Amino acid sequence: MSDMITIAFYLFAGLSIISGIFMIFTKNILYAAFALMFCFLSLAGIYVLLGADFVAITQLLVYVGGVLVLLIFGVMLTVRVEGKSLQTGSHLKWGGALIGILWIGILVQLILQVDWTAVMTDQPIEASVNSIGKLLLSKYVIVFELAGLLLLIGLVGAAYIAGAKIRTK
Amino acid sequence: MEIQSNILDPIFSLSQDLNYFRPELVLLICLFVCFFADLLIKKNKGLWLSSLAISGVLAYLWFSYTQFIGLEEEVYFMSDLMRLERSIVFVKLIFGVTTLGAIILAIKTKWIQIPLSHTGEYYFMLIALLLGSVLLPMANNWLVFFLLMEFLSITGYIITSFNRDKSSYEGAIKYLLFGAAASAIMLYGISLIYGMTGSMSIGDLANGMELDSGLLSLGLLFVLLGIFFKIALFPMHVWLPSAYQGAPSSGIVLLSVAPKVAALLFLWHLTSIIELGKIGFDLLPMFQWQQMIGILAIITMLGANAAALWQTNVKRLLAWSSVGHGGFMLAGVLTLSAFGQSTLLFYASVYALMNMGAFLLVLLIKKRTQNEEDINAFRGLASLHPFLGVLVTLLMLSFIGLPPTGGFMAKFLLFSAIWDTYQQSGEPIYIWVFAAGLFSSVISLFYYMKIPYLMYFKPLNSKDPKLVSLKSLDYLMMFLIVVALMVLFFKANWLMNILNSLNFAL
Repeated sequence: MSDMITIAFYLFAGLSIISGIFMIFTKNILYAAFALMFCFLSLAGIYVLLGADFVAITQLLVYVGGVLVLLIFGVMLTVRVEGKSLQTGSHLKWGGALIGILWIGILVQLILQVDWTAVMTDQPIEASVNSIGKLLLSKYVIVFELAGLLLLIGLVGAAYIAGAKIRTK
Repeated sequence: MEIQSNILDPIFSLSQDLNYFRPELVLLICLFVCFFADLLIKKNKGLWLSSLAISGVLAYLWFSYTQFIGLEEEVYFMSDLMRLERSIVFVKLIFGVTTLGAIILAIKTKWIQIPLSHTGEYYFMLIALLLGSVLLPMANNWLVFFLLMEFLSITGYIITSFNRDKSSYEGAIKYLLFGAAASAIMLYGISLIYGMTGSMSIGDLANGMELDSGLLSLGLLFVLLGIFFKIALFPMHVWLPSAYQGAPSSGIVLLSVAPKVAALLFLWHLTSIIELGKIGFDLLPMFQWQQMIGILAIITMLGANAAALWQTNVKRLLAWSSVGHGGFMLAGVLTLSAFGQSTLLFYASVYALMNMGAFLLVLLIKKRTQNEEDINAFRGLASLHPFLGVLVTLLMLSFIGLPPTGGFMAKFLLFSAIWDTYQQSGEPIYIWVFAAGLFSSVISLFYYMKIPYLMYFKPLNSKDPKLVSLKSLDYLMMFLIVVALMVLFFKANWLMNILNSLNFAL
């Protein structure tokens, strides 16, 4: 059983890395968006394997269901009328690559330093949606309310900005 | 039924804690009243909305004041998600007064920049910004902290874009892009911290020590970058000048004070936990957090004041000066003593006052030059309005930190706090911060004095239109601000006594 989980983990992890790399190197923005979708989907798979069911569902709902559909619609609706596909360019290729590799090096080194056995538990994984729901409306109720208020402010602001024509002096 | 009452129990106990939220609840009510009044009222809209907003903020100030008197020691509430101490309640008062100033300035502009139909949204955003800044120092949990940082950022973006012209959108988009990047970095840091400590509570930072990894330090560094973005300190300050140039002056009065001081107070809380928990914040060996923050404060102070020398736009000049003052206050965080906190709060009060005066001035010259906030608009103004010349000179003296103004006392007290810390600890970084602070004050002399110099020693340009409408109200506001600044010089111990009487957790 645990072998299956290990295999599934490497499958999802490999898929997310490959789609991530494809997303960076492709020039067609629509392909990049689809690659991003595969990346998100495989990440959701990894969350499930880690026992974080709520995070996995949220990942699917918010990123795959919301953000990506919006992104793809945005790309498809803004493609020029001539039918040319939208291309992306990249600047500072070498500098970016250098920072990225340096960053991966630092992270890998720091992660390898940690003694992860200190935080391992043998507790069985339980479904977390129920307890998250209870906590959100009891202990963390203030966070819930603040998030609601934040959304309202964002909505008012978006309505204000979207409702304007640029004034000319 | 039994199960239900079990679920409801924690909610009942939390509802007791709402008592600590009285000022914030008043603000929340005011927020919604403004929102609906904007929709419902048709006649005399500006008058109604302004009076509603002002009375809401006054009520908030009253409740903060009663809270200030009633509160004795640090309390944790909302199942330890929030905390409150008297220094936080004190900044609530500062923020409230600043918001009043911002609303009055907004009324004064007579909606030159903002069409009348949008006053409701504008007050909504100002009050939301106030609410976020008031709550931020109270956060004792990373979730609450992150949401409030977003709260401040989003209201900030919207206020910056409120003028709806090209420079306004340019400033807002720079602010937005930087803010999004800073939020992402900060969120990554928070997730690293959570991974290391296994707790969302900020007080549990020491839990991560047993794993003893650089990941915790890396997480803290990323969170610091997010906080630095809000205070606008090097290296996260790049957005600020454009955002200031584009935003309505009345908005910046609040935007440059409230989030900045709130984030500084939070930083104070965070660094005191790092210091008390002896958390080795050591990404590089031999490099404690004092050194890191000290070096960033030095770069911020020197760099911002040097950059301000080249500015010809008054708003951009004030933006760089605000970065510089942020650097001074960051140096105050370094002290981490009770006296240091008093001086930091003193500095923040003086800074809030000076800022209000400065942006009132920007509004005055704006009328003269049709939306070009060029510094040359001050040419020869003193010969037309001698009294204004005196007031502006005093205000600028306060910005530099020269007597007889509150700015002098603020810098004097802050530097003595840093000197005290140096004497106690003997760490060389404090003496460097001290020297950099003094030196950048000298640099700032050159650009702040440019304004009185232009007013007194340059002839009036005959092509410029005269300062058409300098009403007695303008004089009165300027006069009150300058008098308050001078009172803070001659009777500085009034405020210092109040500040020293605050109970500190240290």
